[in-house]
Amino acid sequence: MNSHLLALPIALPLLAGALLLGSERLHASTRRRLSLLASACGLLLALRLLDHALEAGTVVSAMGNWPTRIGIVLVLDPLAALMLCLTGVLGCVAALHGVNADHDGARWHGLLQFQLMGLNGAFLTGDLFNLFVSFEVLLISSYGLLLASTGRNSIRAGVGYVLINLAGSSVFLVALALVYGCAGTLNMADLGAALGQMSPQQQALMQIAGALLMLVFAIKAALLPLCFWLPGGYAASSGAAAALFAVLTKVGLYALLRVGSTVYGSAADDAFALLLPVGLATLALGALGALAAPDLARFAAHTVIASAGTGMVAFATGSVASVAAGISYLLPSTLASALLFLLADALRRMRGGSDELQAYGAAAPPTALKVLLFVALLAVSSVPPFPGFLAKALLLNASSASLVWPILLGASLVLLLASMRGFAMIAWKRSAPPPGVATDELRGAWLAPMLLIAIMVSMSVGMAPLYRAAEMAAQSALDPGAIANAQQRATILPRPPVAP
Amino acid sequence: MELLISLCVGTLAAGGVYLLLRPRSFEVVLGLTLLSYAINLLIFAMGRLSVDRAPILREGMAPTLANYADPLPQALVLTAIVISFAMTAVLIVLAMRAHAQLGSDLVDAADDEAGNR
Repeated sequence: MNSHLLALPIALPLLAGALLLGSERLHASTRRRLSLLASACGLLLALRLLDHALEAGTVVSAMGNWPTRIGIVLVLDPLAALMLCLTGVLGCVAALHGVNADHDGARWHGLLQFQLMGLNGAFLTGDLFNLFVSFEVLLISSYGLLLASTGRNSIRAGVGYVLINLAGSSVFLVALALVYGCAGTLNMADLGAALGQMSPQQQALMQIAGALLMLVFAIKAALLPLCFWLPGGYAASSGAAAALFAVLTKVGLYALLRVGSTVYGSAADDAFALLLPVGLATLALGALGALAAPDLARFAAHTVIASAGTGMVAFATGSVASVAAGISYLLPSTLASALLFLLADALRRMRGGSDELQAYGAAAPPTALKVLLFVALLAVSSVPPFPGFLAKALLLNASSASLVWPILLGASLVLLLASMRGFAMIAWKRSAPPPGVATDELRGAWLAPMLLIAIMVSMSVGMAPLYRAAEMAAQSALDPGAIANAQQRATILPRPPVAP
Repeated sequence: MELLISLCVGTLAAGGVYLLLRPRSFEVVLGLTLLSYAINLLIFAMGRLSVDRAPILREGMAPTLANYADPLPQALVLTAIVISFAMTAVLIVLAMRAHAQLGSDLVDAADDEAGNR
């Protein structure tokens, strides 16, 4: 496989997004089909890259054959490939739901493609500055997607969401400046090699930069003291957009793991020791928040927080087994939260605007929606037919800290209670659904949820290969030398000397 | 020169953070702008401060950082400026739309508050 294929997951959505934004004259349905086609190609490409990464391990591609110190490198390893696949699935789901649910903003699908580009870029990049740029690309398009769902709530939540992320970006830039000032490069593998040879003063500065980076990634991952922007923002956006946003917190977790192990190596152990209780607290808050959620979208947003907390616990434990369990938990739990966002959207449209749990006088949803909702709630609370159950068991098996068992099990119980409370409040109504709604307005809206359920069930059936892939991903992610070695193999034809 | 630059960065950052914590979105936008100026100066200074060493190769001078300013932070700053410019534009549009819809310039305006002001 040509290693420059690594640029395609970024280039394809970029081209599709530019085409979609520039083609306002095209008929809306053509635009939607184009977007769906691009997302499906992205998913196929991600699967192809996963196949390659599982075979060949870490692959590095130096764009334009520049030396890595100043050039752009893209890194594909099993972890990045798994995350690309997750993004690809959610991109397809969002495009599919966007097709059916008729998001009538002309630019919605273009923004969706740019969001996919930012996500893919963040997963593939091998240097810190491009990580920043990818974050900005995905954030600026997520602002657009969030605000495309017009309404008072979306504006108010949007301001908070944009502000906290802008502040985070500023802190990110400060950290990048410090790192560049110390090391003279922003390439992650080169930084990892350079860290050992620095003077104590420089190492102190690098540690400050590392703390700032941890802060930024914790904002993106919605870890406990920094997670309060998430429920309002996600609940205010439309279902298809929120389903895609479910993967945004995973970018933060991914960046924590990648930068922690590649750049800082064993110097990051203290940071991860600190992040373990943070992850546990985030998990507890997510579960309790779900129990207290006033509406279904906020419920789904709190399951995103709980999932980020669980992932953080797994990554902070730091053994190959726990990181592998964490990866195999994050993949299905992201899909489950996305499914719940889609159903919250369906509920809103059925009731004409509200997805509150305690809706007096609201009619019961049609049977199909009830069944889907029940399945989705089982999936977010990791009940056996769904893969979250096995992954959580693996995580418990791999965890060593004494607090992990009670909090993880307790949070699972609370989440299950919250799910059943939510289902009872929405579905157990005496009044029949309004006639006609089920057939007309919701027609076609089942496709994306069914797809998600099918993928989750097949994940559970294929948990063994999934876990093996996750184990390879964990091994490569925890090996600080993996990217550096691949980078050496990848470079580099000698360049002609600079003419004097 | 180091003292002057670091004082500039510190003053701008302090003002930016103060304004960022103010309740009205106009002040918050100004705060973010000041903060991004501070950060751009910081990145720029991280390529080491030097006078009269433009990063353009000249004949008879070895192409090392001893003879030229480091061009990479300048490229980084350029990217950061473009991104923060775009973000500020988005934020201003958002603030104006929030003002039009909620009738309030407060960053976390609630509905009932908005009616009173």
